[in-house]
Amino acid sequence: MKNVKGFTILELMVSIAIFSVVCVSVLELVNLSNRSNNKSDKSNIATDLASEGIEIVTYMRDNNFLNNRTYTSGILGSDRSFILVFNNINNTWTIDFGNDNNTESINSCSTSTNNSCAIYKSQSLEYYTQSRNNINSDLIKTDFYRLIEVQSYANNIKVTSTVLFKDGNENKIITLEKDLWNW
Amino acid sequence: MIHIKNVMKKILKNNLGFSLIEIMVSVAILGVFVSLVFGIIFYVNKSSESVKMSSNIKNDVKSVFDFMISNIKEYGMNNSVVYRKTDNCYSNFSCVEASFDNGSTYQRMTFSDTNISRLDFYYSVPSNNSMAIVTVVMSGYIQNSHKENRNFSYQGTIEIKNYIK
Repeated sequence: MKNVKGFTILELMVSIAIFSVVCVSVLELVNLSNRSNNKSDKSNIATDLASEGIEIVTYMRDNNFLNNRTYTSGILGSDRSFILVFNNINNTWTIDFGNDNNTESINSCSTSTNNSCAIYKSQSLEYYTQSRNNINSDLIKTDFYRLIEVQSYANNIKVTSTVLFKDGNENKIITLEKDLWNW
Repeated sequence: MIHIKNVMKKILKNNLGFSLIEIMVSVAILGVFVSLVFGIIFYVNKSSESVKMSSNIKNDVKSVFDFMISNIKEYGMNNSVVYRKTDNCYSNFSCVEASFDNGSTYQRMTFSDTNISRLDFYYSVPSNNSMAIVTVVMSGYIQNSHKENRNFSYQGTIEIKNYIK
C-alpha cells in the first residue's frame, strides 16, 4: 500500500473523452442508418403516389380521345394545377382544381395554413386520396402532399406530378413528368 | 510453522483496506459504465432488427406489389392472371396468392413473416368507349422473431386496356 501513484486527472479525462467519442460515433452510425431507412420507405411510397398521378391524367386523356373530345378536356383549365380525389364507391378519380383560379405550387399548398394538397389515408380501407372539402373522420392526414401541374404547348401538354413528404424537419420532393400528345 | 503463523497474523492485522465510501463510489462507477455499455448494445441490436424488417419489406413485399402492378398493366385484369388474398396461409397470417393459369392453381407470393391485412382492387366500371382504371391497395405488416411488427401500406393506380371480368 506504499504505492500511491494512481491515474492523473489528465489521463482520466483523455480516457473518458476517447470512450465517449467511440460511443457517440457508434450511436450516430446506427441512428443514421435508421433514419435513412425510414426515409427510403417514405420515398418509395412517394414515388408510387407521384406515378399514380401521371397514370390517372393519362387515363383521362385516353378517355377523351376515345369519346371524341378534345384531348385536354377536363385536364387543362384556366387553373393549371389540381389535386386528384378518389371515390371509393364508384372507384373513380376526379380532378379538383379548387375554388380559386390560382395556379398553386407544391410549396404553397403544403404549409400549416394551406394544406390543400395534403394526401389523406382512409383508416378503414387504407387507400390514399386527396380532398378539399369532404374530409370525414375516416380520413387521416399523412405526411405526403401531391400536386399535378399541367403546361400547355402547341401539340402536347406536359404533366408534372409532384409529391412532397415531410421527413423530420426536412421537405423531400419527388417529381415525375410526362408529355401527353394530341393523337 | 511459526513463520507462516506470523505472516497470517500480519495479513489479518493489516487494516489498510478500502473504506466503505471508496467501495460505494467504485460500485457506482462500475454500474453506470456497465449500464451504458448494455444500453448501447441493446439499442444497436434493436435498430439492426428494425433495419432488417425494413429491408425484408423492401425485398419481399414491395417487390411483390411492384410485380403485381406491372403484371396487371401488361396483361390487364382478364382471367389469365388472378391475384387474391388468402387467409391462414401461414398459421394465422394471410398471404397474397397469384394464379398464372386461369385460376386452376395458385402460388404464394409473400412469405411467412408477412401478414396481408388488405389486398383490394378498385375497378372503375367502364362505359362503352372507355379505358379501365384500377387502384390497387395492399397493406399489412411484417413480424420479426421478437413479435415486433412493422406496417406497410402501398397503393398504385394503373390504366388498363382490356376489361374482361
